[in-house]
Amino acid sequence: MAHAQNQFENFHSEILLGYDESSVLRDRRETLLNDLKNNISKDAPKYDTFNQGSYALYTGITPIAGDPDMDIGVIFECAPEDYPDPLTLKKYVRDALTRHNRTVKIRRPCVTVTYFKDGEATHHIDLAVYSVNGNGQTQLARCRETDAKEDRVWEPSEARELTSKITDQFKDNDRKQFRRVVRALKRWRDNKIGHKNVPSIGLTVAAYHWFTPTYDSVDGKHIDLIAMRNLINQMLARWGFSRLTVKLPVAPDCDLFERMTDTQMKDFKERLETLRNALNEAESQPDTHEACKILQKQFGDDFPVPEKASTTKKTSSGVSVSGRSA
Amino acid sequence: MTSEQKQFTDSIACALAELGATQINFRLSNSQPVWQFELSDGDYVWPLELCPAGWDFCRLPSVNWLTSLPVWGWPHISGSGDVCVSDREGLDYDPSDITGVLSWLLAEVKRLLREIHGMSNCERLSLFADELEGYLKNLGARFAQLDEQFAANQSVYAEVHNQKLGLKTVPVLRRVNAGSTALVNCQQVRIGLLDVSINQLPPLRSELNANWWLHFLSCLDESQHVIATSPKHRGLVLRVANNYGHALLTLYWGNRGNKKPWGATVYILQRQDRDYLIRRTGGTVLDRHVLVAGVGAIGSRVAEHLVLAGVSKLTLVDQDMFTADNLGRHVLGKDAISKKKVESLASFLAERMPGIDIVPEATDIQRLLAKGIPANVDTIVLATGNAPLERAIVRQAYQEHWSMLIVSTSVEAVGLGGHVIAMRPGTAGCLDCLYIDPETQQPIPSMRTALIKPGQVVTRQLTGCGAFTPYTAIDATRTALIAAEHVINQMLGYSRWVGDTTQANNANISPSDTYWALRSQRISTFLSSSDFTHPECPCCSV
Ligand SMILES: [Zn+2]
Repeated sequence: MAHAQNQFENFHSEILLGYDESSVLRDRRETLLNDLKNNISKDAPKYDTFNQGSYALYTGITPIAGDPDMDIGVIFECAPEDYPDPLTLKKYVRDALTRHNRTVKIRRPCVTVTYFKDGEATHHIDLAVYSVNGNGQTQLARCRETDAKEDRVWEPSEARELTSKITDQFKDNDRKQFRRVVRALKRWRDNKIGHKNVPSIGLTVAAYHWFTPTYDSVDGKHIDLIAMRNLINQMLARWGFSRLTVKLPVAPDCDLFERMTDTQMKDFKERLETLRNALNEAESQPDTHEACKILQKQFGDDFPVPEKASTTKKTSSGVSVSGRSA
Repeated sequence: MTSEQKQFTDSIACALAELGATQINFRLSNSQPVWQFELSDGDYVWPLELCPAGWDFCRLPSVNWLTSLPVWGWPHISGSGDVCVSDREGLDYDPSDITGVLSWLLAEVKRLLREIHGMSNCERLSLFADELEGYLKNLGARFAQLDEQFAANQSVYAEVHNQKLGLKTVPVLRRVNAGSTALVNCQQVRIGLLDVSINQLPPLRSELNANWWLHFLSCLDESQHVIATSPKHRGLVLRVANNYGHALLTLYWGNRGNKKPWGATVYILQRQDRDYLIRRTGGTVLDRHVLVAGVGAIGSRVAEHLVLAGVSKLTLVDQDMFTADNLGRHVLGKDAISKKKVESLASFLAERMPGIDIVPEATDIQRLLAKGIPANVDTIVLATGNAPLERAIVRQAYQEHWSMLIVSTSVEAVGLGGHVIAMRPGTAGCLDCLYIDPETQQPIPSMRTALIKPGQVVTRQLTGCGAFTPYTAIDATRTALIAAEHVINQMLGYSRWVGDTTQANNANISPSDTYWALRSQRISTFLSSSDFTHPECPCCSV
């Protein structure tokens, strides 16, 4: 019976990309926000910025190829009524950020800054633009320049509330396990399905709803393999009419997988079943080495496979200070 | 009277009238309120007296039956007529509810008096015999110790102390024994042992005179008469048969010479034998022989609680001397300093429970085991504080198929918790199971369920020499109680407890994942043997 907990933890440290840990991410954000501050039109209202998405949720992972993306929220101190055309604010942001070596494009949900190196797009930063209505609810500017005026709208979107809901769902070690499992699942998705086809936030919110912290009953240490297997079983059990619906727990309460096609859904489900079976098979291995070979096929080369020798050779365990007495 | 007292007496008078009492008569007796009244109950009219204990009902008031005194031979009624409606233990009520409490009390009194009145003389006396000791206690009879049980036809002795009262010396009976003197400054005298029935006893007082004696002798048959009047005897233990066995009392007359008229003092024999004391706790004597290896802070408390729980025999094994450093968390006190722990503990525990069999072995546990396990040991408690040693003993036990329960117990530093692992050779789930990493199957140097993160220094120094592990007497006792429960119930499995982190925080010691999982109740503090068995344990899986 192998749980490969050490390997799960090592895998996690390998793929983990936290805003706090990454000076590259911090520097980029800093540069961008400085540009915004220095160049934004005098006509723009005051604003505040915050991290959103995987960095705020502590579920960021290094992409398999290329540079990581980032999400930033920009909240203007104004009400939707002050800017009936939300495009005005998005233009302020775009105009402040436009430089050589990056392109800035207004897309419907955000302003996207794409960075280039040798003519190739390497990564992008999305800035979501918000106002706050009379009830204190944040409203997202949804509009492009090509949209007709009536399609440029403010839409309720509680990004900060989502962040605190998800981060507060579990505490201490439970929270650490939650983040490890979500990150591992995202890396599996990148590896097996592709980054774009199953949205990360959908996986994270699925875990928010259905993840249960899982421990060894004797020593209380985490077992990520079982926790992930249980989460996948929970997801598969909810695969209603050929689709899995994962509802956002805050406004706009949408289904986070609604854009996936039926074909993508079917593929997602089959691959999840394969992953679940692989986790079961790995668990039943008497040897961690064999278990990890099975897991590596699912999670990719960053999942470590220990030497067979290290799991069978007797190693000296030495003396420890137990602090126990009688 | 204060206004509160006035209010109290008014509400009682009111309640009495409401409850049907007549001829209500209030007076103060020794500044205490007393009501006399009559209460009719069908054909009977009971003259009663209500005596609150003070000016409230926080203690249940007593009710006396105003009949010709002293009352003798009526169950639940003392010599002074106090009707005992309950043993007054474990009662609960609202003391401000005067009418409610009185209504219950008077109903109980009526029920009891009517019930006893309806009995035959014989039934009444039989029930009374069960309460004879309590009756004498209420009369103010003295107590003497009895910590042995009498065998048939045994000679019985009294240990008598001559107490100086001014110029006079008064003999006081201290202890009754079967020949073994135990007390200092006491004279040992022979007394008789006489079985009598309650019917043969004239009404007893705390002091008896020649008239009583003559009356008593006239009730005895010939063989009883011989014992009672034997010139060898300075007194008489009366064994009065009842439903619990017998009531025990002693008449002590001492050496009166021929001139003085007969007179005797009545003593209630206060039983201190183990069987009686254990039964008083609701337990039963356990015919067990438990070996406790290591009598430090935990082991000594385990031994203490096993003794109180009725275990019949203990072997205590520890080669250490007791030192002043031990005082902070050991059951022993200053008297034990510079003595062998096992010897001091054996005497201490013998005091705690008369009649217990305790064998102190001031030696190393392995040396003792090498000579062979003492006979009939059915449980071994390992409280040595030495995990490798305990694992070695457990491995030996499994290899050699010992049959006893083995309980290994330890306490963690800085109040984080404690462990009790109870195992039996032949059943999987042992101490060694906890020293294997379930992931790698590799042996690990420390118990995998330790409550302190590995690699931290926990021992401390206060004087520059003599490192110690910081934990409190409470931590040790808590652990010991759990261990004792496993022994008493012969319960297999792994129990642990966790405390809070106050001390650990102060000492900058980090608890382990296991601690946090236990503390947040994510995992159970009790694991059955199979729950923690490692399938490839080199000790118990073979
Ligand atoms: Zn074992």
